[in-house]
Amino acid sequence: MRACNPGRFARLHLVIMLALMLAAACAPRAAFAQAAVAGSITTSSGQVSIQRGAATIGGAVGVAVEVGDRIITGPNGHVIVRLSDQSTLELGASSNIVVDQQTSSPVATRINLFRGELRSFVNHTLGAAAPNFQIHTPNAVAAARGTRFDTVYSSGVARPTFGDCHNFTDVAVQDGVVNLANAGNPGGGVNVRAGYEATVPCFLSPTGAGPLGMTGASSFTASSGGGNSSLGVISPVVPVPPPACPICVGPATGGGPKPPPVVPPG
Amino acid sequence: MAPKLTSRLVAGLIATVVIGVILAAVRPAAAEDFFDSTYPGYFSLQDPGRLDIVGFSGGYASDKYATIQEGFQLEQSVTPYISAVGRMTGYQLFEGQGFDNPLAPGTGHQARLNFGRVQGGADFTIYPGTHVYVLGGKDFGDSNATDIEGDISSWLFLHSEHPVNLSTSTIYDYENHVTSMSVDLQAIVASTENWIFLAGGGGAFYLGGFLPSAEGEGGPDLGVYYRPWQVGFSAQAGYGSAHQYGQLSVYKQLSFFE
Repeated sequence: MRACNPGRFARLHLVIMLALMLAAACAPRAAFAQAAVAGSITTSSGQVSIQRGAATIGGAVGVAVEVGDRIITGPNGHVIVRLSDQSTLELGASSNIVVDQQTSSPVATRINLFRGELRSFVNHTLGAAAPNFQIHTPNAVAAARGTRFDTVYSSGVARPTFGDCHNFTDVAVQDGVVNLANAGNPGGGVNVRAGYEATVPCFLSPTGAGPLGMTGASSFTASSGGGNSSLGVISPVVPVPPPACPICVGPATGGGPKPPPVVPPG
Repeated sequence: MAPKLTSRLVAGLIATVVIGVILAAVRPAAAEDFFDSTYPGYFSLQDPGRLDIVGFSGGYASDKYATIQEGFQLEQSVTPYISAVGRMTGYQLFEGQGFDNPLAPGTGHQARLNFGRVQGGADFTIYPGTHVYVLGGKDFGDSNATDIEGDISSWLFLHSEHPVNLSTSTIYDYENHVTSMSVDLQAIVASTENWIFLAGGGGAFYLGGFLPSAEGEGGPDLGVYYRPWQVGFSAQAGYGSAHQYGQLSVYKQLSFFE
């Protein structure tokens, strides 16, 4: 029978202690890193970059997006980010967002759109609680509950009838309902249903919702081939008025065979 | 007395001038504000430019005559509020037995007439959602008429669930001297991601020229627009001088940003 060696036992104990300390030191970091990952880039083209702290990294396909990251696209940039809850963010050209919040339990997402256009597809599992999904712009808040919608923030532009206001947040809803409110009055929002769009001009209340593509709101163009075919302006709906009377045929008044008398209905 | 009168006159004159200056200063400013608010960038070129091409086709049938028309329209933006418009339309007219040629009255009956119409002009956006088209043109084929056309299309209540469109189209034909006018009032019944459904009513009026009195027709109409394809379809049926009638039209829009 081997005798117990106190020195060997002490060394083993020390190694185990060091291993446990190392594990304890690493575990929270790993857990934190896991919690900070908001999603990853699934599609990227043109100029796309991610600002993470002081570092700037390229926005290539597969790159992880973390909470706090700022995603910037250039004039020809386009990127799609799939979030951890399977919702997607599609960012158009010359746009700038920050992922402020992305949690799985409860499912909550908060995106800050500082410039440009953002298309959101909110994953809503049937039977599950509606996710809390919000897009914030400098002058508006768009809160969605299981929906698909576009948010465009335009700064320094002029629009007819809006006077000196030059900042606009436009929300166009393709599916579900989005509550659109001024950032300064989140409780005073309007519900925008699928097929409609509304605008928050500067620090005013949102406009009433009007049919998609008809109110003068900016539309998301990144994935529609640049021709805004799905959200195109259709005003007037009948661009070519049907010729009122292509040919004005009436009873003949001389020459030719006489037609039967025509008596307009009394 | 005279100095008093003079001083009163001078005071009145000064007051008038002051009021005039104030009015002159205030009214143009208000007008300028309204103009800037309603038409920002009125004198700037549209950037990016936009070219819209619309292809259209349709048919009309009544107890007395029938027509088919097809064509296309090009609209090139110049400023955010003014566009140049060109339109080319081909027409086929089928007349009922015994009717005179309406294109050139007095030349007798022809069962079928074919002609084309080339028009050019401008589209003025006088308010968001309100367009005024002014076109002039010339026919060729079985018609040699010169015509002038004015169209108005105005969307009302755009920031509501059911915007209303009022459109009118008036054409004067210099050959048969008939003025034709159509009026249509439609509302958006429903809007979805892909579809727009419209319903309303409209009609047409004809006066002057060889017509002994004003004639007209009218009835309800329905429309549908499919956004992904930018295709619209509308149908109307009704009753009037030509007795029962029905008409269908379809159009397809293409937009290019330059």
